[in-house]
Amino acid sequence: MKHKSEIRQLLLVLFLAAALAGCEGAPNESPRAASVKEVSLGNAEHGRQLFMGYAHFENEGPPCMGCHSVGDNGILGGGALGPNLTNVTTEKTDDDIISVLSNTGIVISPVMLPIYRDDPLTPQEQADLLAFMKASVGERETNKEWLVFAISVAGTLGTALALGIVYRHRLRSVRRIMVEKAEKELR
Amino acid sequence: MKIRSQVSMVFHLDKCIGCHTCSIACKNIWTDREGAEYMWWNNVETKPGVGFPTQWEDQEKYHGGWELEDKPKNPQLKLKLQNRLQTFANLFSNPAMPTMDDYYEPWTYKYGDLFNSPLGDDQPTARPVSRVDGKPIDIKSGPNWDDDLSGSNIYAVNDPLLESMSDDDKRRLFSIEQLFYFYMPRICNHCLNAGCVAACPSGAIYKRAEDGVVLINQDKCRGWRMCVSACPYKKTYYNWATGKSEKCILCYPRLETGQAPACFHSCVGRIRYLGVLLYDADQIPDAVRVPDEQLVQRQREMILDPNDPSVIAAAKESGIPDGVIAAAQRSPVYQYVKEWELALPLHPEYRTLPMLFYVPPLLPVLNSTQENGAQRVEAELFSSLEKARVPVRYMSRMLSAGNDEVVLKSYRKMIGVRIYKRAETVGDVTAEEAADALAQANMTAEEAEAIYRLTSLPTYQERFVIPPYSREGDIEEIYDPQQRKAESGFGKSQGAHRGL
Repeated sequence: MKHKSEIRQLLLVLFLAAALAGCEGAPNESPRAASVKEVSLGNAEHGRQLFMGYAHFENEGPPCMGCHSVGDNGILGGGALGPNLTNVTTEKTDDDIISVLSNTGIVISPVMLPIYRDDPLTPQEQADLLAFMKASVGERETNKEWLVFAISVAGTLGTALALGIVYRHRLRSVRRIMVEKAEKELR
Repeated sequence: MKIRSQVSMVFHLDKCIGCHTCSIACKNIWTDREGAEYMWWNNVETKPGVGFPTQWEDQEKYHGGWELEDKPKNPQLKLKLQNRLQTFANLFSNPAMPTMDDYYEPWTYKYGDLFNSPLGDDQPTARPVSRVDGKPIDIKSGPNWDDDLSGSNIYAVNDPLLESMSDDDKRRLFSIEQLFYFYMPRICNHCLNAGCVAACPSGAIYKRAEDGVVLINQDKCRGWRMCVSACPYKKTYYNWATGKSEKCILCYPRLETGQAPACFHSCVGRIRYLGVLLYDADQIPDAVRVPDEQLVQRQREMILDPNDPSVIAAAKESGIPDGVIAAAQRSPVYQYVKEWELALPLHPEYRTLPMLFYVPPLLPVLNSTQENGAQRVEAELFSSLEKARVPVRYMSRMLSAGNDEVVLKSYRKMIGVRIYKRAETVGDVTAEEAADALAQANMTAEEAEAIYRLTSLPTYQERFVIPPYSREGDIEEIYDPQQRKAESGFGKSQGAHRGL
């Protein structure tokens, strides 16, 4: 009985905590697309910082590199879930790109909508990103998935090897080894 | 002096016929469950042999028991398995676990096939199937796989006890008409300095205050299995179905109701004795740190005389009930272990202070055939001991940490009793020879008679002196069972009221 009431109390606390967290998680501000004037003020360098996650989005949205790749994205490259955006500005209009980034307008990504719905990008950030993507046109597209895969395999093998060395003296078998040895000597 | 009581045991190996009735009695009561199929809280081994699990006595492999620090001044005891930091590091991967193969893969037979097979040209058979995964198996080993296989050049030859023996002794063990074997039944030793208790990271293992039975709390056990490794006798087992470890509980529900444990009760050869020993717990730290050859003697010193008035007074002060003291005074274990010094602990060098004692087997019957076919007991006591087929060295490795003299003393008494009774009942040994034998064994005729009576003619009450348990009575004092009864059930019931 005592345990049950404790569990009930715990559930209540958890529920309240979740409710409070939910309040905090409400949209910071309503999404707004960058205007043409704002787009022209985009800073490509700051856009790169935002893209790579070196700088935080004002509303704490996740950095683009988690899913996308533009040009050369450091040692392990960018994510491969979304399309490679190196030459996206030559294929799509600025309006379409701003529409995707701001979740307003005609073109809306069904994947990015839920991710950035509660943490929209500010007009300035959208402009910076657009400027960064424009600056990257023509760069060499890199694909480093093989590297990630190779590091995973090497890491797994390395861990297994390390554990194998640490536990090399563990007891493996007594009876089987004893019987096999004795039978060999008898033959 | 901090006196405690311990329900202790003596197994008289000279009387064991190796029938495994004890093992079956235990199995039927306690380990006939899923996950416990491979467990034998009681098992009977053939010696020389590898035992169960295979070569359990080889602590270089299994890392069970304690060892003394290798330093001359004030050496401390430490677990052979690991220290605390290593316990933490190895928590998820205990490196000294016996594998299932070292015990054996439990199996049953598909008996249903005998009755349900379709009509055919061949007789249906019951194939062996594993009790772990249910698939057919090729049986490779079992809990008493080397039963009676003395002289086996696969099993007996790999007995860890033979390692330190001379080549000459070894040759004798494996030559025809010279080889011997005896049986060794084993249960949990309910040690005073148990390795399993010390190794448990969860603190789930404890020694009961009133009778010293070592138990695993199934609510606290987290299945780390450090006890399985740390017990040098390999008498804790991991239950794969419940995820907890289990061990012999000395049938405490039977003890509490005045009955002997199942394996004791069912013993055909009546080799088992059970009784209370009073010991001084303050002496434990010193007793486990003496050199190997003194271990048996030191353990005997810890066990106190229950008839000594000062011991009785101290026991009462330590809270031991009068009934338990009275039981200790009638304890057959006290007589075998302390008074007569016949019974010896199994592998005292593991330094766990085991409280199960063995009377060494007197093999073979020491007689020689005369010309007319009659047999005559060898009255030449010590020459016959040296000629005995069981090398004393083997027994001392097993029962006295290598101290031959301790085993010889026990043997001398047993042979002395045999010669003394032979003179009395058969008459082919003269009274002078018998008196000489008693003198050489350093005992009186009364003692020989007492040893003979308790060995050969004991009654049930003499073999099992179970102390009175007051568990239920103690609970009644604070919680009236009648009152609880009145709170449950239908209708009106009037609880009886007891005054305290």
